[in-house]
Amino acid sequence: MSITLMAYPMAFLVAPENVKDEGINRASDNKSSNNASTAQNLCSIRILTNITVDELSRIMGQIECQQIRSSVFQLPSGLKVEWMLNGKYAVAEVFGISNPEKLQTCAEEFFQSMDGVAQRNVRLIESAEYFYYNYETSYTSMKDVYDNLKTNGAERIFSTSNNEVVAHVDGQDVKYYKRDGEQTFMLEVEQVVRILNIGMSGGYEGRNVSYGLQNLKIQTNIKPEELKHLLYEANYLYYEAGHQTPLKNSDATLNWTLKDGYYTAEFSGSNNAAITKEAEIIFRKLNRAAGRDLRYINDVSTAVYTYSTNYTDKGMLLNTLVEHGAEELVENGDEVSCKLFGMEMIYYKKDGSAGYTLDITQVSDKAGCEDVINDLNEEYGLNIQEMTYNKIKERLDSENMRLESEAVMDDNSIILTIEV
Amino acid sequence: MGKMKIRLFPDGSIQMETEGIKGKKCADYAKVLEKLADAKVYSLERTEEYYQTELTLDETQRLKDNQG
Repeated sequence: MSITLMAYPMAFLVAPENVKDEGINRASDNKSSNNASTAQNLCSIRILTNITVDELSRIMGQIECQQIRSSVFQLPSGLKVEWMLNGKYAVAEVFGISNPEKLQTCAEEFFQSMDGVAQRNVRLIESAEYFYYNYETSYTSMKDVYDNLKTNGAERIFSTSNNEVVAHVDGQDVKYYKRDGEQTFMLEVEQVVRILNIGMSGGYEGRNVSYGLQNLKIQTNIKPEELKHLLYEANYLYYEAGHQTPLKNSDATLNWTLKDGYYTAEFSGSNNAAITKEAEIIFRKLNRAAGRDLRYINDVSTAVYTYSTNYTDKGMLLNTLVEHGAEELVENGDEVSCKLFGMEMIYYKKDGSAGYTLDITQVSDKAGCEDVINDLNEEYGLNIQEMTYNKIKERLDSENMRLESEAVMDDNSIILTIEV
Repeated sequence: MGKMKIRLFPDGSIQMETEGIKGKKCADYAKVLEKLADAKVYSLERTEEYYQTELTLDETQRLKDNQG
């Protein structure tokens, strides 16, 4: 061999191998944890943070609270927070409020304050947040615990050397353990909230291109006379001049636009985790203030998800969509719109970019949306492979070269051996 | 006579290896590939053969004379 090189056809924006498929991780609706949390025996919640030991004193020093023990603080709401160390990061355990819903609300407010001081989401650990809900139980023996787990269809039930029992139930990891001096078991349920992260993440091949959620528009049923009051109730501000609401995470911005008598919330920023997390938080608070889900108009979810793609070739894009069963395909210059599995998709090029951007609406099933996006990417790649194969074979003569052999490998790659 | 082995992967990316082409000429084939496939090279490794010089006819004869 004399040289080995890698190349990518110009129908891609960047090399396919540098575009990682992150997959969709759904922001949990927290339904299961909400159900558990309404149980009257929720006594504490342990929350992992990305706060270092050095930062903790400074951050807590700016939160209105009273230090009641060396590592325990009490907030005006009655919430107590105990800080522990997990390696170089701090772990918070919140307790002290008997009503489970109020415990969660106060904890959320506390962490919102922490985010404001730290200028970031302090619960974010590699695109997820980790909560451990601790409940009192009446079980005193391991046998009772095992029987209960089996009755509930638990899988992978193990006991540990610390006399704990761990298992997987209904998609969640649980642990039964005893606190020092206690006769009954506590139940700890892990709740991982993944930050919605749809799209592809890419490398930077000499161009300033990134992939992932860039923009999230949510049509609401908020009327003009309601917006300021709801934001105030949810503890947010509204700047009339720019029709903006400042968010806790400075990597995301929120603008309000009025359309057909209702407001649309438009989130944007460079950090897709921040965008989706901020959207989730503000609408959770606004919905609570309004007493209804503000994101629905006529019972239809109106969120628009915007993604960057690695596609540059319009013809190849059209072929891919047609082969995938897209309907109502319409071209308008560089813009291509269609319907696919009930979703409305619009591909367009913006700001002089060579690559297509995709807007999707009517997303009823986010897991299904991920599958569609991944399938389209695979199919586009296969179409490019076929196009490249045909081009090379057609052009050999003009370069005075001869095709010696061709072979298809197990991984469906094609090897062309050419005499030069 | 040299060869180009072009491998087209299902994700659309392209790998190429040259065989039997000594010296810097083999790097010209990167440009040939770009032209054949409407592609852009983004990574290139030069192997031992790249650094060898292709002997001319005179040099080949001198080698034979010395051995003889």
